[in-house]
Amino acid sequence: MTYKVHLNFFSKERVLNLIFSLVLFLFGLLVYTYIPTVEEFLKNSIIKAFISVYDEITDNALSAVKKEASGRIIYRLKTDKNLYNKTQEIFSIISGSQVKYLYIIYHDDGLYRFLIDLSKEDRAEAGEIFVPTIKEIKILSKIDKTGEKYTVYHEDSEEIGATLIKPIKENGTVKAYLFVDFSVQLIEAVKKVVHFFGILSYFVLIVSIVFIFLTAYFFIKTVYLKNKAFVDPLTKVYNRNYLNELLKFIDINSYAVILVDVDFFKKINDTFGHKVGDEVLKKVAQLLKSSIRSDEDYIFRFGGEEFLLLVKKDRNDRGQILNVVNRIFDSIRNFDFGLGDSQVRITVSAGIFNGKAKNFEDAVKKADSALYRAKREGRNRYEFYIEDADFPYLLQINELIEKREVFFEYQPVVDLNTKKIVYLEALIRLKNGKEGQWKPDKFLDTIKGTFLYSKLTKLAIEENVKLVEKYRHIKIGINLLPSDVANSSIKSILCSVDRKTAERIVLEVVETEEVASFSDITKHITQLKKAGYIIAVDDFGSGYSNFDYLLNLEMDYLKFNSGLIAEAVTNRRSERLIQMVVQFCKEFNIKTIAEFVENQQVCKKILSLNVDYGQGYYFSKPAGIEKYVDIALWETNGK
Amino acid sequence: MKYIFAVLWSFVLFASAFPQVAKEKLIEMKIIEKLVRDITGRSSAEVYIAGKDRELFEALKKSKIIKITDRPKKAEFIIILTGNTDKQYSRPSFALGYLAFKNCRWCIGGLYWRKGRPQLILVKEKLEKFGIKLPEEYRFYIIREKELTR
Repeated sequence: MTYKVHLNFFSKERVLNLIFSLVLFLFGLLVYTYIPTVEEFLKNSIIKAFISVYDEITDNALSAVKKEASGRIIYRLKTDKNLYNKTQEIFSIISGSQVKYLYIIYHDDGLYRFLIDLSKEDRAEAGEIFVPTIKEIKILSKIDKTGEKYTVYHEDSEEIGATLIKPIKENGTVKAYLFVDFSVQLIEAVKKVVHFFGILSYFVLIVSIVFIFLTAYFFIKTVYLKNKAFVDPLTKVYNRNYLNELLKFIDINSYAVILVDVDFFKKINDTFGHKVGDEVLKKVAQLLKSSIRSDEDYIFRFGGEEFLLLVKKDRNDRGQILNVVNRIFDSIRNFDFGLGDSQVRITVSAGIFNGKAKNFEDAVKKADSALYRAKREGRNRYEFYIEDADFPYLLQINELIEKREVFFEYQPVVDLNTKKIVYLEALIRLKNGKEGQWKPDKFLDTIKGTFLYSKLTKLAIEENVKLVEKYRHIKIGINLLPSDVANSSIKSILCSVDRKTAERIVLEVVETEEVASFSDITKHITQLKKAGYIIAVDDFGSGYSNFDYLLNLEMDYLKFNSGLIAEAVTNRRSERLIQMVVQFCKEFNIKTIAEFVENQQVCKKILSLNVDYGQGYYFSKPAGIEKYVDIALWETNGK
Repeated sequence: MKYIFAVLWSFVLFASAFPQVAKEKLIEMKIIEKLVRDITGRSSAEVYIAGKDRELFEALKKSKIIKITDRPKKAEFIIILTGNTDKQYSRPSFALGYLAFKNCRWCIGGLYWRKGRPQLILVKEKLEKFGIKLPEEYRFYIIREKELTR
């Protein structure tokens, strides 16, 4: 997987390191390449500076000798012993540790001969033949032509490092040459200095190479680790970490946000096992990936079975986004997931947000709202977020909850024989200044599946627990969805309530949504029952109800769906069904409750069917708690 | 001439790879080898060393051109060392060292060191005496006998 943005691989520190290493490397390379030139330059400069000192001294000495010889140095030195000795004396101050040999030679018919040897060692006799090196011979012929002094470097000699050759002229013609041989120690000393620079450059080069390797190593390591950190190990698509990094670099409004959720994934896991569930997720991820443009769009695993897609918008993009979504749905619908031995088709639901968002969270919230709508409308479909539809409404609901504009009305469940209150069902209301109160049918479906719903559920639990603690003789029923029972934070609130209080709270598990796993829900409800809560199954007989509850759940109350009760008055089958369920419940000590007892006729009918309790306008309309706190209204020995 | 110098200095270069004590001897060996080859016109020749110089002896022993012999009569080339100039040989003799060269007036030439530079001198008359004709590259080193004493 390659990263389409560079994220922060090139952190400031790493870039500085790299630049430093490269500069160091280039410097080292430059010095290394030019070592011979630099060495030569340094060596010549130092030697030149050194020789220039001797140049001046020998000039003075030669002038002195010339003066003594009255300009005829060669002849006089050959013939005048005194001048010979005087010259020795004059030049004796020059000889030192650095000047190895000092002598004058002259040209004699094709040969070079010593005129005078002023050296302290290896002295040649006057007139002795001198064989210069080839370099020196070339220089001597140059001196003959130019009359200038020259310096010769002896690269290969172990005794002399350089020779300063100065012409001695008579009548404007070069007649002899003063040779000043500098010891090789001088050159060696210079070489040592220059060599130090050489070693330094090698060192710099090696250090810079090490630095570059280290930088490269850490870069690769970072890429590897980031790759690990940014990619979901199961589906091999990006994860939230990469999304968080990416969001620093992109404008979310340039992308359509698509939330894709695998339908009934929990069922797949429960039926085929987690291994198969993982395979399904992998396949779905692959299909999603192949449905988007790899160079512009992004796919992330956003939650367990939820994927988030960022699809780059075109100018007139609605059609383009639709194409992407249709491709996704077609590919998933037509793909045989082949779970177990049978052909299995998986479906997904998608929520699309294609408008302008304040930020990423806002965009996701809107896509989530559209996804919820797709789920609510029956799944295996996609929904676009419509600005006017849900969002402002959600904001309004959120605002009311935030402002605690929430209150409860209570409708009693009455014992049909004693007409006493068994418990009060808490009915949530929102206070909306302009419109008065909002009943659940106005807002509950809109917020289902969002954080607002769980927020409201928690609030309902907390408020009613307080009431039960305040009025020690009353019982209150709170409506919950199966998903609330399975919600860990809601469950932990319920479990934190003390047992005596819990024993006066009826949890009415509303059977109005599809339940992926009855066994899970049963497990959670059983735990709550053990904590002391009274368990009621609400809306029994509605389209969603399931006999699993009846068979497996140790419930205390069973509340018939209002539709079923209404039908029982006129429909014999409904009447018979209620009769049978009541009989079954009596055998298992489950109290039955009839909703929608609106008048005496319905009341008589349910009494005739042996239903235990009733609830409806016939007994009381929903009202504030104050109406029901009188202890005389309450059943004292009910279940 | 430049070839001779090239040889001379290449010897210096070559020798720099060896310990300093042996360096001069190695240069001397190489020059002698070339001289012997050019004088005898053969790729190897028997050479007699008049005098004792262990280092030179060891160096020449390794030579593929020079075969050291202890019988001067059998030798094609004689090397005279300092202090051994009394006896004159019928074969072309070559002085090694300044004093040997100075004292060996009958030698065809000599090789010695002066001011850190190898000094090769060959005497025209002596070469002619033995009928030795050397290549043109030796021209610079061949001098007349009378020029020695000027």
